[in-house]
Amino acid sequence: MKILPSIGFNDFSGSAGNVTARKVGDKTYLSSRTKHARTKTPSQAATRCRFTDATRGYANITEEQRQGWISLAARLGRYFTSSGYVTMTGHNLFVAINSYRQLCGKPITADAPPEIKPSRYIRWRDLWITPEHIVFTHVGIRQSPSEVLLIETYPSPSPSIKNGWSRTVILTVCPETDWGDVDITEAFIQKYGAPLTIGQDLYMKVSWLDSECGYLAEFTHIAFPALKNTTYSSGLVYTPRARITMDDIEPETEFFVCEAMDYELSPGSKIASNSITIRVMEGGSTIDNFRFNHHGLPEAFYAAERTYQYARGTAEQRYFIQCVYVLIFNITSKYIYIAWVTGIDTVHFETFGTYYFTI
Amino acid sequence: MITLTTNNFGAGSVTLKDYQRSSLCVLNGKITVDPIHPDYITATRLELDLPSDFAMPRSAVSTAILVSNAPIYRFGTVLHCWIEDNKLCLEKLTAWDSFGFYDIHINAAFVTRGYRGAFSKTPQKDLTILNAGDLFRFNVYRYVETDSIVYFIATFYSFPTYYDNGQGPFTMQLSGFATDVHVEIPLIVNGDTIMQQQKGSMITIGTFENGNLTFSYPENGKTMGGYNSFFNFFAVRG
Repeated sequence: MKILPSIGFNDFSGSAGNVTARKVGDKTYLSSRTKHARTKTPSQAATRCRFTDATRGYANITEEQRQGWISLAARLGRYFTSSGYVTMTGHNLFVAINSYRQLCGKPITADAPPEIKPSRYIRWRDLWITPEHIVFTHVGIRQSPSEVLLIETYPSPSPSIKNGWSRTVILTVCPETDWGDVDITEAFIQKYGAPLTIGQDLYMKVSWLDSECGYLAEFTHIAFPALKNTTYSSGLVYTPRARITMDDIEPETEFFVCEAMDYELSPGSKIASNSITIRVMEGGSTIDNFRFNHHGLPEAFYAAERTYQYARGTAEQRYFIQCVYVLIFNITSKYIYIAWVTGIDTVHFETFGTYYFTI
Repeated sequence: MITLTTNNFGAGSVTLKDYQRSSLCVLNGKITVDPIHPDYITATRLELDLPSDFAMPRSAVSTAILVSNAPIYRFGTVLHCWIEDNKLCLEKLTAWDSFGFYDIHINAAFVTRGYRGAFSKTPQKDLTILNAGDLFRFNVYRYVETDSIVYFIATFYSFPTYYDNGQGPFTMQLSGFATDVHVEIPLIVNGDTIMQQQKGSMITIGTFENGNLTFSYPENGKTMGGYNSFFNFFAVRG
């Protein structure tokens, strides 16, 4: 039989059942013990695992290392977590920093960092929060290669919830932006299983976090209801970039394969930067028109326009140079031609560079 | 002009003609590489520091042309070239290192990505070959001229061959091409023949000046030139 101490007396601190008593000064406080639900989503399991690893890690470090963390914690005073300020201890700091390091794919560090690089706010120009898109633009450039974007979200299930800041959870860590764009639509749907609905409030905390340091300090608070299509700030309707990737095409045909496709238009008037790799299969002709169907492209590709460009055989194809064109149809027909024009044709080549997009 | 004084492959200062805007830059010039320099040997890619106030700290992929010192034909190929962290970066290819010093010609545009605005059509301009005939006849060309830069790609039905026309020099006289462009460009002039053990394509260097293109073939460049020849470049005006 388990004998439980009574907590019905003034000087007692401890737990009995789900009740915990603690004594602060002359007063004793009772609180119910919090137990986390046993249900585990993969991301919850990963978070708990990181936390457990970091906690256990602290027990394995040397006394000298421990003193380093205690000293650093004392210098920092209080630690700002996503749920508010907490009193800083060496253990807290060790667990917090190493949890974020692990989140960023870094190993646990036993030594306190010599220099603290706190996370910082982000800037952005356009932000679409719609059922179809959650996209930031012009997020800016990271200050060092170790910086990542840490994004926490909370989609409020009810308009009656007026403050969702303490409920945000980590949605994703972006190693870098895509030319200033941060598109979290897919990560959002993967995490929550459904897109936002129009009018639903989305709370976000976003920061540039130094993944080596792992010290979360400042982050940008963003909370808006989902709109039908317009952006927060300039009011622009969502416009996709004039870009073609492997996801947009059917890359395999009987006689040739498109192994890589990355094509994008930039202004001035229209200049394309791109990199495309083609392999001709047995039975195919190297001076054929390599035609790949696409699934529909942004309207900027509105007519039969093309780039004439250099192409280079692979090392096995002795780096021979040829001239090809990349011709894009996007009105009634939906395909892309890559065609030999002149030079030494090869069965495996890459065409790349920056060229005017002309008729 | 910009001067790039430091690099990671042991070359001296490099001067490039430049057009700089935050969304479009054009660079023209030549870099000479010593493939036995210790810094070159250890480099995984070639990097040249751009001036700190250069307008574009990062670009999408562009091109450069490697022109080797291989006897007669100066075989070479196209290299990846881009701007990253305020450095001009070039792919390192060692296929022609055994021939000693080689040149990298940059006559390319650099752009950024992530644009979501409207586009207008690219304005093109017609050109005429004044001395068209047996020596020069366009197959396909595209010529774009702005106040600051030009872009010109041309392939040919007729182009001089060493076999029929000798070493030259040859001049393609153009009407309509900007007369204030002075640029040296690699011409891809591999004829029908591919030599055994050949790596890369045959290249000769041409010069645009006063609106005309002038070039010649090296002595014994027997299989150079003809209808397979072409060029593709951006150049800064003025």
